[in-house]
Amino acid sequence: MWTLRVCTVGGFGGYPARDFTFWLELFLFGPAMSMGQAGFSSSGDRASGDRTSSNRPDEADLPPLMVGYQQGDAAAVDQLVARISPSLWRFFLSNSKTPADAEDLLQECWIRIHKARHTYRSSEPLLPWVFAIARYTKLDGYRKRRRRESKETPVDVLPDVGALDAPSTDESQKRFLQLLQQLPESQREVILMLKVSDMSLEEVARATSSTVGSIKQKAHRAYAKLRELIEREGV
Amino acid sequence: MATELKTDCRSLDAEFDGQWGRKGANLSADATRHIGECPRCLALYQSLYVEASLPEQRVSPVVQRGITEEIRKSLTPVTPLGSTPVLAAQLAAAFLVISVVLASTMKLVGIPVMSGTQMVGMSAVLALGLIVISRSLAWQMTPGSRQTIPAWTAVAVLGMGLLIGMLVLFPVRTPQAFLARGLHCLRVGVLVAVPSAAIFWWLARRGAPLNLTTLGATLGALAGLVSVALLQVACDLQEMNHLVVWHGGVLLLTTLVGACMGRFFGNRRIVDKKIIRKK
Repeated sequence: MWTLRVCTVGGFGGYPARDFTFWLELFLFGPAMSMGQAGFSSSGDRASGDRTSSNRPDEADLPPLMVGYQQGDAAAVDQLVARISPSLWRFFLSNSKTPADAEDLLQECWIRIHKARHTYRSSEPLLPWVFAIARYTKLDGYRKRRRRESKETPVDVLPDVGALDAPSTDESQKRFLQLLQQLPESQREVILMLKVSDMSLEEVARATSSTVGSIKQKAHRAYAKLRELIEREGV
Repeated sequence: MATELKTDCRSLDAEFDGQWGRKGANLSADATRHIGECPRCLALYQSLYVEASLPEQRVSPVVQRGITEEIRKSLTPVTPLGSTPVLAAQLAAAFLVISVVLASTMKLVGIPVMSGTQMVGMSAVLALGLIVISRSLAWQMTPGSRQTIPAWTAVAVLGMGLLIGMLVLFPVRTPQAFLARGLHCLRVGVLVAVPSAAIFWWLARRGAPLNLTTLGATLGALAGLVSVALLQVACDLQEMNHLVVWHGGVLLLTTLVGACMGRFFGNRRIVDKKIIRKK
């Protein structure tokens, strides 16, 4: 009966409505077909969840760009910043109060990447190296924010222009971010790296100085928690 | 029916571990069927796949341009850092050089007091500790390294190894001037650890350590290891109580002080600099 609810009411416990063929194809042909080919790409609507391209930057040509960066090639820097920044932006945005905070973190992260660029080795994958730096940028940003907030005395209530309320952010993504906010920090960052930045378990383990087994455990706990949260919100 | 029972929510989670990319997850037929039957899993899949696709082109071009311009200002060629084994070997070599130089200034009265077994046993424990700690430090110098042994585990392995070595290899005797002799060893150990830690810090700062608390603890442990090694050959009171409390105490103290200093500097690291101020 829940499928009826999806099709007729227009959403799955608050999820955006999909047409009937989407669900039919999901069940008949599997998610790869229904999500990637038939369901979303036919609509061409990015805001409603179209993943016409992966969240993950194409890694194959990133190491040569990074090597160019190490050798002082300005063109390589331009390309690298353009290719990696969206992933970093998503990573920071999902945990920031406002888009401006995420921009600050993005800039801070690039300063740190610049200072640490000599520590990258071309034989190693680039994304774990970048995200290891991004992770600590985010942690330090969080600590800085906490420290600042503890010293501030609010004199007026400012309008909340948080990332979650950004006008171009889709409702479903907003909902996803709200769900993520309810996860413990360690689980949230694993889900962000695995599913938002589309990194592999091995890459997340490297980025977090952890082991693959530990990452799997955190991810599975996060899945269980997300199921609970989704159910609690009325599925 | 067997296939119906094979895939449940938990095994679906295992399939969620894979990377998804633009065509979604490559879920098995069983998993797909399970998603069709389980509303909770469908909602989770939809949440992870569809909703996690946060908007891509949201980075402000002004910010992006500002980042590249700022980087270009100080864009100079850099020499990549050596590999993890090379860095670990450099740290181990520094350990040996520091130990030899400082030992040359001391009377090595501990060597004749130790038996062959004690000598070999403690050398093995110290060598193992050196390998584990220097590797851990080398991993920490390079972000995104595959750390097969977490840093705190490495420190714990070193501490436990030394403790077991001291407990097993050395006899329990009635303490002779336990406090006075112990404090002397503690003082010498700390005096040795300070310059050692400074040299190891100088070597480690060539990398880009991220967690300064962990780095401080590891540096403290390595500096403490130099102290323990030197006290082992320069102290003639080779009895278990003295070794565990005072020599082991030096290692514990340097590790804790290192961790505290790392935390202190980590708190100061929070930078307020912005590349661009839009407003």
